[in-house]
Amino acid sequence: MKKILKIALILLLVVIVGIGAWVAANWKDISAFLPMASGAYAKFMCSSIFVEGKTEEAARNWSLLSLPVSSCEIDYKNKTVTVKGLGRENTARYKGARFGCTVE
Amino acid sequence: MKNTRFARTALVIAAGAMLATGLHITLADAAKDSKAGDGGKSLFAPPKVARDYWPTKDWKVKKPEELGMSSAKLKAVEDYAFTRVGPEAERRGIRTDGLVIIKNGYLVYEKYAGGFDKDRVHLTWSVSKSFTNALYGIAAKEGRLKIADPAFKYYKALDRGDHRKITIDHLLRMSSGLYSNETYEASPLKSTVNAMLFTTGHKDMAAYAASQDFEAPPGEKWEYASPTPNLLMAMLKNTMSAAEYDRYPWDKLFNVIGMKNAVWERDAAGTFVGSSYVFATPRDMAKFGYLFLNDGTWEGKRILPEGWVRYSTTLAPGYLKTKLDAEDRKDANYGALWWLNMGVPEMDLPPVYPDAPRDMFMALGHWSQMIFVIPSLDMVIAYTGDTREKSSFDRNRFLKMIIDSIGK
Repeated sequence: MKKILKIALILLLVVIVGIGAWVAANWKDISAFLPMASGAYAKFMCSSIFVEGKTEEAARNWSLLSLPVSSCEIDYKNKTVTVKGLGRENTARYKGARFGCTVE
Repeated sequence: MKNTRFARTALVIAAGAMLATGLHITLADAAKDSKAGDGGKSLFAPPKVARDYWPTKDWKVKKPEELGMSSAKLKAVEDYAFTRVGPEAERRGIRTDGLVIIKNGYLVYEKYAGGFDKDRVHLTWSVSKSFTNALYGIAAKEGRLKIADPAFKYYKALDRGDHRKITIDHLLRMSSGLYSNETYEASPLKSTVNAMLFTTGHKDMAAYAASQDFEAPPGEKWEYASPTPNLLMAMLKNTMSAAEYDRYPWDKLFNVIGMKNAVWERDAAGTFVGSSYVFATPRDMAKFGYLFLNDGTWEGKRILPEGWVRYSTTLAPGYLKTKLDAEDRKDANYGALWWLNMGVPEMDLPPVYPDAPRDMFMALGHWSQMIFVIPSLDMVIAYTGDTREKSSFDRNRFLKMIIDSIGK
């Protein structure tokens, strides 16, 4: 019994160290990737609502990413969409009828 | 071939102007490459008809039967394209948002879904690249730049080492040799298109494009790369004032052909996102296709320079030199910011849509945004959608059904 526990513990350690090593080796790509969730979602929502004129529900359906988004604030007065996800925040702003939205 | 080259040269000499020289060089190069087979060949020949009107204000509508087409067969197209499956949030199957079919200059079919209608614009994704192509044609005609020019002339950050060898022609033909990893969902961490649009590169997409190192010498390898058209749009910005640039797509293109509602988003550096962010209605997308169908002329005036559509539909020389991977082999062939259906026998590539004419060329975007231009049938098809399961949409079948609706 003890032996099984020991093996399991070692295996778990190996997995943790393995993940840690992978994260460390790819940290540059991973940290560069973190703003993806909020940046893409903010841009998608802003253009869907203010350019294409989608309803909020349709915009959400269309913009849904496989990445986690923790908050999405749509400011109809200033025409901005601010999104938090993966510990990063991004705002997309509507710049007018010709220019649509830009991530700031 | 000598005769065609002579004819082309004669044409260019007749055109005379300095600006034509840049094009001539490209066309002569292309002709030289035709020894290798389809490289340097374009199948483009505009329909030989006099237009009785231009759709600048709007398309005129005709019943399919008036043009020898079958409404019943178009209904079958509709059933195929507009039948949605599963719950909306799961986004399964074919999800058509808009379809417009233009035959002999008349609108014979249109339908919208997904909350869209004839006046609502739709994101066109990479169809935008073909709009970038058109602005380069216009800029070349104006003498702002020459296609054979080195790119660094218009973009300082490229004035270094081998980057000086990249030409505008290389960029238009996706043959700069700069590193690219064009995946969205498959390998998100390494994707240069994600990084450019949303993370590392999003504030200044051209700077991101120019910062890449080479994976092949310029002109030697074709690789579809979304950063490239953004670099082109930033280079264009450097040929004019900021105010002029902000108006340029409307003054020179959209307003000229009546794309009244077109939107073109910019990055934080103020560069139009030439890779991805044009929004348009399918009716207006069809007008853009119609400009190319008519050899770059509109209302009797030349908008794109002589030979531009031919250049755009000429198989990129770099494409022929490239050992395509399995994914690229499943795609269409490449011209200059336009896709081609010609097929390349010497690369063992049949036309990607075998039931459509080989002279068909296409602007294609993510999740199935499409403009099909078919000169031999005098036809333009504009399509918008949200079709995320690419394999669920048999585009060849879709095209075959439309073509089959034309009577013999």
